[in-house]
Amino acid sequence: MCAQVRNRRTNMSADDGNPRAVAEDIKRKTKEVLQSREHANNITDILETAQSDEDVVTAASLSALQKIFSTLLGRKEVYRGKLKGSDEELADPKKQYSRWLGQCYMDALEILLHRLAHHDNSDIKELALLALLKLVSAEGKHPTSKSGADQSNFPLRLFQLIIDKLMSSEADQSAVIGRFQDYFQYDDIRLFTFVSLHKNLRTVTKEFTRQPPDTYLHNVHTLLTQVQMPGEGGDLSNLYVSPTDPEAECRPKQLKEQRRAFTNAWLSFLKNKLPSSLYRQVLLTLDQAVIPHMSSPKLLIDFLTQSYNVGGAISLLALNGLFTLIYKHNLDYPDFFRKLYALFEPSVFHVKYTARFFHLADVFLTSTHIPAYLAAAFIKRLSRLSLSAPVSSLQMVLVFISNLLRRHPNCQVLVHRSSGEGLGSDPYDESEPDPAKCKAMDSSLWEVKSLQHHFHPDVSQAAVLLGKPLAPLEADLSQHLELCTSEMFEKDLTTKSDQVPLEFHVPKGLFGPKDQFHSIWDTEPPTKKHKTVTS
Amino acid sequence: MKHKHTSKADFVRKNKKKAQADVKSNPFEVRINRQKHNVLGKKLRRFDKGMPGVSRSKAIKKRKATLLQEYQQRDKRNQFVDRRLGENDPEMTLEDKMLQRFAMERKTHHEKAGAFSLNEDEELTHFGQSLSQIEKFEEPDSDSEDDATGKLSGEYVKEAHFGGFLTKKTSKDSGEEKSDKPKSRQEMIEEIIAQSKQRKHERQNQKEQTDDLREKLDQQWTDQLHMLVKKANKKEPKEDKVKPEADDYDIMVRELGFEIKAKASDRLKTEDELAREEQERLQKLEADRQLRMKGLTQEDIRQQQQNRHVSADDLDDGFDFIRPERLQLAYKDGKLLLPEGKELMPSTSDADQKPIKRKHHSEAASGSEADQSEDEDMEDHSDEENSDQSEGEGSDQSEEEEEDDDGSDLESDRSTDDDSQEEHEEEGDEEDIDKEGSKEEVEEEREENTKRKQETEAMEKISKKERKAIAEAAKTELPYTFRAPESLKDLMELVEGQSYDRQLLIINRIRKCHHPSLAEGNKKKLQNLFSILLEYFGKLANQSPVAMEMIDGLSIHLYELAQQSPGPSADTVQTVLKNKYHKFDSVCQRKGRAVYPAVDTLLLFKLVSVIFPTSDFRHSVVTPAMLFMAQILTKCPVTSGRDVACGLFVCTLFLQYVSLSKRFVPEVINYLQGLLYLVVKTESRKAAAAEVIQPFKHTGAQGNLLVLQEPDDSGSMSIKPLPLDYLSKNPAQDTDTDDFRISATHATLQLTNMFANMYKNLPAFHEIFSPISDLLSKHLLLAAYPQEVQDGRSQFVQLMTDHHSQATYPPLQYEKLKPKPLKLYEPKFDEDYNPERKMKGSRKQKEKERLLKMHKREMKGAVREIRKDAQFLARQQLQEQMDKDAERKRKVKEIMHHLSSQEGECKQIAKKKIKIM
Repeated sequence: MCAQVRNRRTNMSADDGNPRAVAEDIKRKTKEVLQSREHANNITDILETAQSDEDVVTAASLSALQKIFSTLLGRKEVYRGKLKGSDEELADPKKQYSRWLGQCYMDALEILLHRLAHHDNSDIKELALLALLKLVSAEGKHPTSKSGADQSNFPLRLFQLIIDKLMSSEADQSAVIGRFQDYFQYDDIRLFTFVSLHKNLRTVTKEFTRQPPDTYLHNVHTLLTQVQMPGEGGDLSNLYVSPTDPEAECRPKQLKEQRRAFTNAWLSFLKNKLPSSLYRQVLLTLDQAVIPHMSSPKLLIDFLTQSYNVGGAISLLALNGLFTLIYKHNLDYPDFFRKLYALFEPSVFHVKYTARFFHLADVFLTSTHIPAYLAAAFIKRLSRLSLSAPVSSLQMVLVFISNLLRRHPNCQVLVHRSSGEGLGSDPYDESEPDPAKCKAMDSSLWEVKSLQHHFHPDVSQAAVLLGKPLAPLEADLSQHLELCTSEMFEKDLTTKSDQVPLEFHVPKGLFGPKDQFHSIWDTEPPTKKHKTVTS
Repeated sequence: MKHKHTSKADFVRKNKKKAQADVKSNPFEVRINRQKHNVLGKKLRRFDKGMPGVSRSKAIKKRKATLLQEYQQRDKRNQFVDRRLGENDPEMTLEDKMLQRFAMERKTHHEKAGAFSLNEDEELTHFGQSLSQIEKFEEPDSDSEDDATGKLSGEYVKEAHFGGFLTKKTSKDSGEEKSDKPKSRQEMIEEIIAQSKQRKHERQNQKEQTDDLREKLDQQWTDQLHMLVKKANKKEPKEDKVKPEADDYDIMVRELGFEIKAKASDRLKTEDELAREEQERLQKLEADRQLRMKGLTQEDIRQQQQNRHVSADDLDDGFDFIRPERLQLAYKDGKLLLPEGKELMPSTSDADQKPIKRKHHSEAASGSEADQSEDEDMEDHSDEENSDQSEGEGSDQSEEEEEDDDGSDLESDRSTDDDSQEEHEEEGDEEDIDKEGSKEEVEEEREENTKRKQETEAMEKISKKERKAIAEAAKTELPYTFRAPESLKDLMELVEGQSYDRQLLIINRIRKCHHPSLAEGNKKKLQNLFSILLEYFGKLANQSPVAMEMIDGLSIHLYELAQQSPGPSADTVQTVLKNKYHKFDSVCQRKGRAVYPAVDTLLLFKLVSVIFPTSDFRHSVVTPAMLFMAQILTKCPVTSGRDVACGLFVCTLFLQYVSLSKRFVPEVINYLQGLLYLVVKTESRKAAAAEVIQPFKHTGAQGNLLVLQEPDDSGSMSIKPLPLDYLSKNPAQDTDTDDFRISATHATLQLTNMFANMYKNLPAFHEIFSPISDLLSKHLLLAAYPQEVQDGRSQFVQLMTDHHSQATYPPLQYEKLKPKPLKLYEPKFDEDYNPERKMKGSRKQKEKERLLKMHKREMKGAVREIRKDAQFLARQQLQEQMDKDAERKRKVKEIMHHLSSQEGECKQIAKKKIKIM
C-alpha cells in the first residue's frame, strides 16, 4: 500500500512540475528514507532531482542528501571500501544493501562536489559546501578502519576533494570561501586546509605548465588571507572532527605542524607568477600577516629579492618584507643600500606608496653607523630629485635631508664647506648606480639653495633653514609624510593676515597692454582685432 | 650710634599704638632689621620688622595641633573621633556649644526619665483651672510702656518700683486728694495713658506756636525787603529812555566786525606736483612690495634698519641711533647706479611730462626689455621722456589719442567720465555726483525705486513682445540710479539685453549710487556687488566666444571694488577658489587624475593676478591659487589639444605670477619638458630616455598629439599667437591640425626660454634644465619646423651652452651670522626715568613676571615649612628618646635602690644572726 501511495505521489510530482511541490516531496521522501529501509529507493530519486536546473529543487535535494547520508553514516550502514568482494558477501542482502548505499554515497558526493565547483548561484555553492562539511564531520565521527591518516580520524581524502573544487580555476569562489572562513576556528580544518592546498597547488602547477590562471590564484589568495593563524601559546584543542582518543597528541594540536603547513602553502603559492594587482596586495600584507606565522621566514627571501629586483612600485613594497627579514631574522643582504639608492627616482613622488617608502627609507637610514659617503649619496640624490618633486612632497624631502645631515655631521660639508674654490660643474654623478662612486661628498646642495626660491612659502622656509647651522634635535618626519596638497591648500587659505595687500598697478583690462601673455596668447577681443586689421 | 638708637626708638613709638591695638605684646619681642641708610620717606618693607618669638611660638602651637597629632597616630589603626557636640564646628562659640550640649543632655535625660513615668500628660488643676494658666495671670503687670520712649516714665518707676516706698510721702499727698486706697491695676493703666496723651498734646501745641512765630518773622522780613529793593531800582528806567537808536555807521562797524574774514586756503597743486606725488606714491608701494616679496614684516625691517651696523662697543641692548640710509655714489656705463626701489627725483624740466605708450617704449628700448621687470620699466620712463622731448613736441594726432587710454588712473577715470558724457549729454550733468548732491540723489533714488516697483508690477502683466519694446525704449534712455543687486539674478535682470558698453555703464552707475560715503550700509552692498560681479565674470568666461571687452571692463570694476574693501573681497575670491579646488580635488581623489578646469577657473587665476600682488612671499589668495595651478600641472593628464592649450595657459600664468619674484616652480619645468617630449616623434621616443614625470607617461593616449602629421608642408607655415578660444571645451578652431601643433610647440619653446632666462641665476640652473636641454640638443632638432621655432630652440641651446661655460659652483656656506659682541657691563641709562612709573613691559610680560615671582616665593615658603616640620619632628623624637631614657634611668635607679635596700636589710639580718649566734 505504501508503495502504491509513493508511486502516486511521485507521479503527481512529476506531473505538476511545480518546484516548490517537488521540494516538499523531497522532504517527505527524506523522512521516509530515514524511517525505514523500505524506502531506500527514494535515494535514487533524490540523486536525480539533485541534478535539476531549478535552484529550489537542487537546494532541497542537496540538504536531503546531506541529512540522509549523515544519518546513515551514523548508523554505519554505508559501506566505504573497495568494491570487490566474494560471492558470499554479495549474497548477504544486508551487505549488498550497504554496498549499494556506498555507491549512492559516492554518487551523492560527486554531485555535491560538482555543484560546489560549477554552479552559477553562489547560494547553492554554499549549500553544497556546508553539506560536504557536515558529511566530513559525519565521516570523522564514524571512521572506517582506514579513513584518517593518523589518529585524528579526519577524512582527508574527502577534504582534499573539497579544497580542489573550491580552488576552481574558472569561477571566482570568493563568496563561498567567505562562508568557509567560519570553519577556520577549528584547528584541524585549518591545518588540513593548508595541507590540501599545498597538494592542490602542486598538482595545479604541474597541470598548467606555464602559469595557472589568475582566477585560480585569486581564489588561493582569498583562502590564504582568510585564515587567522593562532598566536604563540594559543590553545589548539578546538577540533571539528574529534579524534578517538581526545587526549592524544595529534597533528592539528601542534603549532609547529600548523606553521609548517602554513609555510608550505604560502611558498607554493608564491612560486607562481602573480598578476600585478595581486602581487601588490600580497606584498602589502606579507610582513604583517604572513611572516610572523611562518616556521622559517627566511624561506621567503627568494621571493622578496626577486620582487625587489622588479623595480617600481613592486620594489617599494618588497622593501617592507625585506626590512622585516633583515631586522628581525638576521638576514644578511648585500647590496641592500645600493638597491635602495636605485629606488630613489623621480617617479617615487608620484606613486601611491610614497609615504610608506619614505618612512621605511628613514628607518633604514636611521643608523648612525652608516658610512658618511653613503648618507651623502642619499642626500645628494634626494636633493637632485627635489628639483622635479611636487609641492606636497618637498617639505618632507627637505626634512628628510636635514635629519640625515644631523645624523651624519660629516655630511654637513654638503651645506657648509669653509674653504674651497668654485667648481666648473657639479662633481656628483647622477647616472652612477654605486653610491660609493658617485662623488657626492665633493658636491654641495645647490639644489636646496635653489629651492630657497620655491614659490610656496613653506617649502622656501624649510629650504632656508638648511642654509643655517642646524638645530641639534631631529625634526619629526611623520607629520610631513602624509601631507597632501589639499591640506596645504586649506592651510594657506586659513592663514590670514589682518590686512590683505592689493596690487597697486591699475589694470587696463584682464590682460593689460604690458602683459607677458601677448607674446604667446592672442588676448584681443575679436571685434577690436578686426578693427586693427581694417585700419 | 645715638642716631640709630633714636630711629629705632622712634619707630617703636610710632608703631606703639598699632601694636597695642593688635597684640598686647612685649616690646622686647619686636625685632627690627637695622637699616644701613636712613632714607627719608622710605617705607619699611615687610620683612624689616616682626615678632619672631611670637610667630615661632604660634607655628609650634600649630604644629602641635596638626603635625604632632599625625605623628602620634602614625602607626595606629584606631582613631580617636571627637563626637562632642559642636567640637568640629569652628564657628560655634563656647557658649553655644555648652548650650547645645546642655539641651541635648536635658533631652536625653528627659527621655530616659520619661520612659518609666506613667502619667506624664496629666495637668495639675486648682478649682478646675490649669495651674500653669493661673500662674501666668498672677504675675504683676510690668509690660506697660511709655509709648514715646519705650522706657518707663520716671514717675511710674518712682511709684511702682520697690512698692513705691521711695515716694511714700508724695503718694500720701496725692492720696489725700482722692482716696487712700491703692490704685487698682486698671486705674493705673488708664492714668498712664492719659498722662502720655497729655504730654503729646503739649508737644504739639508748642510746635504750632513756634511755627506761627516763624511765619510771622518771615512776613516781616519780606515787607522790609520790598522796601529795600524799591530803593535800588529807582535809577533804571531813566537809562532806558537815554539809549539812542542804532546808527548806520554803527551797524556797518558791527557788520564789518562780524564779517568772516577770508581764510588762507591751500594752494592748488600744479599738475607737475600731482604727478610727482603720484610717482612718490608708486615708489613707496613698490618698496613695500619688494619687502613683502622677501617675506619681511614691518618690524623685521625696523630691526634691520636699526641693526645695520654694529660697532664693537655695541652692548646689544637695543639702544642705537637710527642712522639715515645713505647711498654710495656709483656709476656704471655713465649712468648713476641706484638700488632697486630708489629713483632720482624727476627734474623740473620733466614738468610737462606726458604718459608714453608702450609702442614708443619698445622703440626706444632694446628688444630684450620686453621681459624686464616693471620697476626697471619705471626707471626707464624718465629717460624715455627726455628722448621724447628731444624728438620734439610735435606730437601727432595719434599720440594724443593714446594719451587717453594710458596714463594715471586719475586720467583714466576722467576719460571714462568723458566718454559717458559724450554718450549721454543730457544725463552727463547729473551723473557726476558730488557729496552735496547726495541728498537729492537719495530722494531721486527713492522715487526711482517706487517707480521701478510699479513698473515691475506692470511688467508682469505685459506680454513678452511688449517687454521687448520697452527694453528697446529703455536702451535709448538708461536710468541714472539703480538699486544694488542682491544676487546675480538681480544683476542679470538689470543688464539683460543691453550691449556690453551699456552693461558696464550700468555697473558704473550702481557703484556711484552706492558710494560708501553716501550712506551707511553702502559698503556692504558694494562688497556684495563684488561677489556678484565675480560670479558674472565666471559666467561670461564660460561662454564659448569669450567676451573679452566685457571681461576687461569687469576686471577693472572688480579691481576698483577690491581697492575699496580689500578684506571682504579677498574672502570672496578665496571662497570661489576653494569651491573650485574642492571640485577639482574630489575628482582627483576618486580617479587619481583630474581634468583641466573650465575657462572661468583659468581666467580667475588671471584675475587674481590683476587684483592681488603675486610677488608676495605669502598671500592669503595668491598662494592657494598658485598651489591650485601647480596641482593642475601635475594631476591632469594631457589627452587632447585643449589640454595642451590649458597647460600652456597655466604655464604662462605662472610665468606672470613669478615674473617679479623669480620664484622657482618645478611643476612648470616638468610640464614643459613633458610637452616637448610629446613633440618628439613616436619612433625615436625610446631613444630619448629622458625621465618623463607625471602627468606625462612614456606610453599612453597622448600619442601623437604634438607630432607633425605632414612635416613637409609645415616649414612655411606662419606662427600666430594662440587664441584664447582653444581653452573652451568645444573650441571653434580645430586643434588637430599642424597649424596648432606648430603654434603650441612654438609657445612651449618660448615659455621655456622665458623661464630659463628667469632662472638663470639659480645655483642649480643647469640641473633644472638639463633634461630639456638633452631633449632639445639630441632628439628634437625641429628641422621641419618654421624658422621661428628653430630660432627658439637654438636660442635655448645657446643659453644653456653659454651658461655652462660660465657656470661656477661655489661651495655652499652657512649664512654668516652677526658675531655677538661681548657684554660690557656698563650701566644702562634710561633717559626719561620716572620712579613713579612701574616697570616697563607689556601686560602679559608683567603678569608672567609676577606669577614667576609668586611661584618662587611660594616655593621658598614651602621648602622652609618642610624644613621646619622636619626640625620639629626631630625635636619631638629627641624629646621622646630623652623621656624614655629618663624613665628608664628612674626605673633602674628605683630598682637598684630597692635591691640595695634589700641587700642592706639582708646584711643587717645576717649580722643580727651572727650577733645572736
